[in-house]
Amino acid sequence: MNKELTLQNLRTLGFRPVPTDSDEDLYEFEFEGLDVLMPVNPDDNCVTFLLSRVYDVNDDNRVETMEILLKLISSLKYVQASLFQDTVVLTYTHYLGDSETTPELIEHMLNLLSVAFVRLYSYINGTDDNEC
Amino acid sequence: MSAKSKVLEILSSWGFPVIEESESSVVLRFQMNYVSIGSMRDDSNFVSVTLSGIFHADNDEETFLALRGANDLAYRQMIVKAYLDSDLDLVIAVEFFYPEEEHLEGLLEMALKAVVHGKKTFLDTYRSLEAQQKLLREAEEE
Repeated sequence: MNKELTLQNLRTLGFRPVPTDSDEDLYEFEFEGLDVLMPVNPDDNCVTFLLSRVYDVNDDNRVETMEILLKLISSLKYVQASLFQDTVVLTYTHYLGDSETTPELIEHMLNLLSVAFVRLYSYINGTDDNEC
Repeated sequence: MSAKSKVLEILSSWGFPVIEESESSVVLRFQMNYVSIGSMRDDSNFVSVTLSGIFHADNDEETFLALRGANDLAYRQMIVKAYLDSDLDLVIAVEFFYPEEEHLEGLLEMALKAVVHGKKTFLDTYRSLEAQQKLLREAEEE
């Protein structure tokens, strides 16, 4: 992935990505109240956006949450939901091959992550009406 | 420096391209939304930030619910105002004066975030009001 091009595309869409550490291998930006992370590895020919720590899991809600995650990933294309260090993580990775990121691709990925986030909470709160 | 020149300078420093530009306003994307920054005149330190294209009321019921949603937003969120324009399109706006040029960047960022947050709040409220209305209608039919 061309890091500079992807950062430029993010700015075109009105985001202000900032590196989370001096290595600059992980960027963070705000999207309508959500903190989106973007790992950067120039050797990878894919682009990944993720929402971390979107829901905390403990021994009391672990089984229920895993059932919800299964329901979520079966109802949504592209986005993956997983448990990592007792929190739910939503991830969308796109294989780029020989191509590069575009604003349209990034917009699609972020919209899907946002839909996944809303749907996750509708399942958790029991307010699912198939509308996101 | 005029308000518009200063705004353009700030947007350039953020790396945000200007999509449309007129004498006193510019359109840009902020967190994927199309936002207008306007009312910029040479002789005043006044800026308005508006977000539209979110919602259009197609009938009396939608107009009523949207007005309730806009009222709720104005009540709950400071700075932001929301209204239906003459075409019944929802407009969310933040208008502000900046006393000195060095205050503009922070105020502009705050205003952009506020209209985007206002959009989310309005849509959440509207969906909730719509669901209540549906329940009321079903209860009346029974």
